[in-house]
Amino acid sequence: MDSLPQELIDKIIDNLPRSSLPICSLVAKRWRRRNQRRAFQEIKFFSEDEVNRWCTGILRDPDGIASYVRVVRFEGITSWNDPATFGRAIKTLGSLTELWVSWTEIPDELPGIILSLPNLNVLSITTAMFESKEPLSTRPTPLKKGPLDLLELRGYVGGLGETLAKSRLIYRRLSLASHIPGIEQLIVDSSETVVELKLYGM
Amino acid sequence: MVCNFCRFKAAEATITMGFPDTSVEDTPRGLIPSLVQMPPLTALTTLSIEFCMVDPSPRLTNILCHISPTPALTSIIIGHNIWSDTKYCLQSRWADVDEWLARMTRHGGLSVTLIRWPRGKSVWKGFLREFRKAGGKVKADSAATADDYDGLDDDNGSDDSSHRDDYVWDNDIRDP
Repeated sequence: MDSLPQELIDKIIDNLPRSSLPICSLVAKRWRRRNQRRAFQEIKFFSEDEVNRWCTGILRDPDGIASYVRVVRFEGITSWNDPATFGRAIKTLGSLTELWVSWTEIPDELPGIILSLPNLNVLSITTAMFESKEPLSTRPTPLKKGPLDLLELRGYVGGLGETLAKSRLIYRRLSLASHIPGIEQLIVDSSETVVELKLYGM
Repeated sequence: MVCNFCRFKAAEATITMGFPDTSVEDTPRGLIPSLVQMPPLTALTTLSIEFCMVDPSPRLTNILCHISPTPALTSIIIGHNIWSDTKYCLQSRWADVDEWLARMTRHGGLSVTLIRWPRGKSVWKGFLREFRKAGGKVKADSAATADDYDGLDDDNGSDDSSHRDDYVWDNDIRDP
């Protein structure tokens, strides 16, 4: 086992089913990092407790598991006891490329945090409980200049559409519910880059 | 060329854009004039529209009517997640969409694919007639049968070109 080159170990781990990853990570130290990279590539939160445990664990994490996370999903967290929890969790995920949020409360300050994620490429907000019905007065400053791959806004998202429209980001794919204020501006801003447009008529 | 101007309230300022007004026929019925005129969507290759109610909402219709031109677009997918009774649909709202589709297909030819479309003869008589007259092709997803869409046949029997289009339509359904 010790003579196996790391590249071969990585290849084996990359082809394992996800259910085998926890046990596989106990084989040897050389197996653990690649395992963690795969296991934490995508994470899901279904409750505020899970998010709190994540934030607490990350503080004690010497190996930087948070840097492996590329995709995060928040589902069904309809209200936060501490609205800052969402923001704390997002801030731990500096390598995030995809953020999927459905049926989850989004605190007012979150759009700015979301838009400051340097590698974010996919943003999907579906029936989020956005506290503010009005667009935020502050203009978030995006770090990424090129087009993002996907923006999805569906269901009730309050003033989030107009807030994102203010950011003047551009997208390759837009998936938008037609009742959301501000989506005309999103389409106009992406007129030269959008290859796929989905409109949902509510 | 006559230029119209439409104004819309953007995030932080009122923007005024000029756009060519080629003819009265190009203006869909019921258009809300205060909506933004979209610039050409030059890269757009896929447009999907999903209806959750039996009629397109006025807002959706207005957004659609302002998307033009789209030089790279050759097909549109229209899906339907019906939540209400089709017999109460408003033909006028579909007429706006029909006119917009007809205008789009005159720019270069379009096909429309209907997905999960509601059934029923009486409601959909002459559906997308203007679009088909303008040369547009209508197809159905493979789950549909010809009987599902019989209501699309022209009911007055006086327009030969419509019958020709309906024939194409029927063939498309039977041989998806």
